[in-house]
Amino acid sequence: MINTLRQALRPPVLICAASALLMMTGSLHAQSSLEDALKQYAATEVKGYIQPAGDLFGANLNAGLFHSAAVSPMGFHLKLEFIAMGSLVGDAQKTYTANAPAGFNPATFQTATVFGGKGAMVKDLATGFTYRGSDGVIVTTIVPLAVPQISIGDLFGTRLMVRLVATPKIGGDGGDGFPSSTLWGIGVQHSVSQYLPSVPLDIAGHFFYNRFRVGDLINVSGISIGAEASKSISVLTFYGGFAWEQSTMNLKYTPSNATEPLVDLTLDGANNFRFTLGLGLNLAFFSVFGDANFGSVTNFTAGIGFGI
Amino acid sequence: MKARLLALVVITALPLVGFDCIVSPFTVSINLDPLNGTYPIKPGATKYADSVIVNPGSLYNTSYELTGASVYDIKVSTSGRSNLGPCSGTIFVNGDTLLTFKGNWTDFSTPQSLLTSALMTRNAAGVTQLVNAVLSSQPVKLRAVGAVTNPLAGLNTDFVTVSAYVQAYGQLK
Repeated sequence: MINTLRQALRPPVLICAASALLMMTGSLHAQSSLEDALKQYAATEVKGYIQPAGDLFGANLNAGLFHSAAVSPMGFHLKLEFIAMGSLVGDAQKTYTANAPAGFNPATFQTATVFGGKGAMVKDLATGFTYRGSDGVIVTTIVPLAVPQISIGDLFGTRLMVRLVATPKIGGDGGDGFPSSTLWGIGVQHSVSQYLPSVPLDIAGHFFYNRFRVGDLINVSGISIGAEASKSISVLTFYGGFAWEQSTMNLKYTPSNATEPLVDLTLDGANNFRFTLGLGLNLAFFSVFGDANFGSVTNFTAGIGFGI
Repeated sequence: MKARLLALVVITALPLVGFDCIVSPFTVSINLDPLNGTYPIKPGATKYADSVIVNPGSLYNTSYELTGASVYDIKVSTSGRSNLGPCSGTIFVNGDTLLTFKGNWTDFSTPQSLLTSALMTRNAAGVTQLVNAVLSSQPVKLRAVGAVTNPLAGLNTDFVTVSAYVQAYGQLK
């Protein structure tokens, strides 16, 4: 088993995990457009445009934390998992209510978010002046994320879970490179069923904290507190749970309009509660799992694990 | 700065393969810095006339190819220590009348917006001229001609300021 984990932790595997983040880069052309789209907005306006990104990524951060509630009172557990998660982009994430310029009638209008289509135009009833929202930048039905996670235990019915991905700075100076990034998370899962031996299910509670930082200006964090239950039948494990969660994204930039102050914005993720249903397949040292999560954001996870 | 928001793209655009889900090109709505013209009322004068040249290219990132533009507000304000009484003016853009205004000097001490003020009247042809000048990146000559009732006393200079707010739409070249 130790050799299996050593194999799993070889540099190529870690590079693949880091590549999951690196693969997110693409055309600097389009990314600069997103940058300028955001810079047109003062802090009061950009929130609506970018809020869905905070909602969906926050939901991703708090996903895939557990795939079983079977935490033994005392025993050896060591597992390395590679977890992929994705949050669905619904219609509600594609438009938002934006403010028209001061004095416009109507004062607000529905226009595209970062995930929306064409920006809408609003027309002032008195003057016929028009004002337009920026187009959405990203056309996708799902926002994905992938993380490696190590769980180790079980001591007094408690298991430790850790996530860590770190990528170095890539490219030159002058703002054209890709900044260093770090995703880390830590949490614990504690057996409740050890106190309720007559209950035919495995029951546990968890607490988890995640943080994703890119450079010195982007910071996303998430907290999840919940309870889960599972039942293993042969090689199958059925699991589910409820969780309260919170996520925040901090965004900083200088607007194009020099009269506007520096934007230092914190977005609170919309997903505060989730209900999870999942299924795992356990084959000796190898496992595969998948679950669906329902809340303000619909989220799916799937992954593979190595260990016991 | 590009890297900073490139990082945001990492968060907001996480394709499973490549970056195909990024719309390219996509249209950015660009709020230009205001086109400002400030016109002095000199001591002892009851009339004023002056011109300001504004280069639209200095008001936005010219790496964008503009595909459209619109004016979304025009404001007129007065500043200085005196109340020059009833005043009026006409603003021209590249020779076409953009707007006229008429009121008391102190009415304009708080900027009056064309969207809400009854003291200002726009001319559609002038608005079109302004939009076309921005789209073609041609210099915009903002000329103001007007009058006040009370001549300015003392040695101070008071001012009439016109600010035109234009939004352009563009794609990266």
